[in-house]
Amino acid sequence: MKLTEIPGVFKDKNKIFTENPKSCKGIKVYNERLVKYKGKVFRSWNPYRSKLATAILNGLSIKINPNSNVLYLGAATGTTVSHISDILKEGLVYSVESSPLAVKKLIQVCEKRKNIIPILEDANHPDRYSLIVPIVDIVYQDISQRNQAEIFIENIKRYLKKNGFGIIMVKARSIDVSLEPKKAFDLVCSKLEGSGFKILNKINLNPYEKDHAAIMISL
Amino acid sequence: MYLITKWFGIFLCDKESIIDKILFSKDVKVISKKIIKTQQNEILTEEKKIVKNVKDVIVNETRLKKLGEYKPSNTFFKKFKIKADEFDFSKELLHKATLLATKINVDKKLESEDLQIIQMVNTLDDFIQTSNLLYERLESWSMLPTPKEKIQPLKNAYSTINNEIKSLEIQIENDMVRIAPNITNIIGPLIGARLISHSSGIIKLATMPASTIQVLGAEKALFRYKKEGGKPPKHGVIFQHSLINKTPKEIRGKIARTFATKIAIAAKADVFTKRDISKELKDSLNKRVKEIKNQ
Repeated sequence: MKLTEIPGVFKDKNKIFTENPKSCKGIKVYNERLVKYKGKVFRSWNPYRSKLATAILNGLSIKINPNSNVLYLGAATGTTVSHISDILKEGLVYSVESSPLAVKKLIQVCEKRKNIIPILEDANHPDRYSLIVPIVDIVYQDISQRNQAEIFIENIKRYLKKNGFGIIMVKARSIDVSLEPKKAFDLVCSKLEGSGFKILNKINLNPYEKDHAAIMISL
Repeated sequence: MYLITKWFGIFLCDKESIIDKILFSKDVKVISKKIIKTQQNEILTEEKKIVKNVKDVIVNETRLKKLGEYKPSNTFFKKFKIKADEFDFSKELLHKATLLATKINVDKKLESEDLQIIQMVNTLDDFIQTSNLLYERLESWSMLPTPKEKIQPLKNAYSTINNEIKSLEIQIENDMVRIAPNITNIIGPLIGARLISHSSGIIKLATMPASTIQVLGAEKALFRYKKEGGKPPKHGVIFQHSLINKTPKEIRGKIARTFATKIAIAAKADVFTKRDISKELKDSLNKRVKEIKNQ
C-alpha cells in the first residue's frame, strides 16, 4: 500500500484505496472490499462504480487536501461521496441530489460520516442552496443531463473560489445521442471555454465507462 | 445594502462590513426548520424584519426578489465571506440540521400520491403479463388428459391474479380521478397512469412538450431513429387508446399528435390550476378528430 500523489488516496498493485475512518469501523457503503494494512483499514475504490476512481486510475491528478471544501452535484446514493469523505478530514462535502429515493440512501451514509452535508435540491437552481453552501475549493459534477454543462457553469460561477478547480464528468450520450462522443466532448469544452474557464485536463474514462470523459477546469 | 441569508443567521452588509445581523438560536430543530422554509420558497420573518426601512437592498436568491433587486452575478456575494465559526456555529450543528431537514424533505417528497400510482400501474402491468403466462400454461396443460386435482393449483393462481387485476384497475381509476381528473377524462385512467409512470411523476408530465408525450413509451424506437435514421415513432403508450389503434394507419399519427396536445394541456390543468377543463378539451379533441377523418 503506497500513498499516491493525491493525499488520502492509496495504491496497491492496480487498485486504489481510501482510508476508512474510525467512526465507520467495518461499515461498507456499496459492498466494497475492506483491506487491513499496518493496523489501518482501507476501502477499495471501485472504478466500475465511481467515475472519479476511473479518472484517477486513468491519470487525473487532483489537488485535494484534508481541509478542502467540496461541492458535489449529483451525489446519488453516495458511492463516490463516501470516498471523498474519507479523503477530507476537516473539510466538508456538500452533496446535492434531486432524487428523493437516492437521497434516502445517501442519508444512511451521512449518519456515520459527519463531513457529508446532504441537500435535496435540483442543481439547476444553485441559488436554492446558497443558505448552506459557502464558497468552495472544488466543484465536482456527475449529472447525466443534456444541459449538464450549463448546470456546471452556473454552479462554478456562484460557488468556486478564485484558485479552485472544477471537475465535470461528461456523458456523451446524454449530450446528444446522434453526435459522435468526441464531438460531444468538444461541444462541452467549447461551452466551458466560452464562459471564461481554462481547461486543465481532459481524460477519457475508457475502458471502465463507455463514452464518458472527465474534464478539469479552473477559473 | 446586500442581504445575505446563511444557515446560522441573516446579515445586512454594505461594501465593507456587516451593518446588521440576526443570528438563529443554536438549536438543530430551529435551524432545520429555517432551511426547510427557504427550500419551500418562503421568505423568513427575520428577513422581512431586517430589511424594514432599508433602501436599495440587493439580493442573490430568486426567493428574495420581493425584498430587493435580484443580482445573482454581483461580485460582492462571492467576495464577502461570512463564516459560521466566527459566530460560534459548529460544523456538527450544520451536519445535524441539514440531516434532519433533508430527512423531512425526503419523506415529504416520497409521500406524493403520483408515486403510489406509478407503483400501482407497474404492478398492474406485471400482473397482466403473469396472467397471460399462466393462461398459456393452462392452455397447453389442459390439452392432456389430466386429473382435476393436479391442475387445480394453476387454475386457482390464474383466477386469483385475474381478480387482483380487476380490483387494482378500480383502485387506479379512483386515484386517477382524484389527482388527475383532466388526464383521466381525455385518455382514460390506465393510459393516464402509464403516462405518469413513464414520465416518472405528474409534475414532470405537466412540464413536458406534447411532442414528448406523444412518444412516451416508444423510447427505443425514438432513439433508434435519432441514432440511425429511418422513421420516427408516431405514438407511444397513447397507442393503447381505441381512438388511435382502431383508426386506419395513415391517420394514426395525426390523431396521436392531437391527443398528445390535449393531454399536455390537461396535465398542466391538473397540476397547476387544478381546474376541470376536460369538457372543453374533449369537445375540441373530437372536433379535430372528425376533421382529420374527413380529410
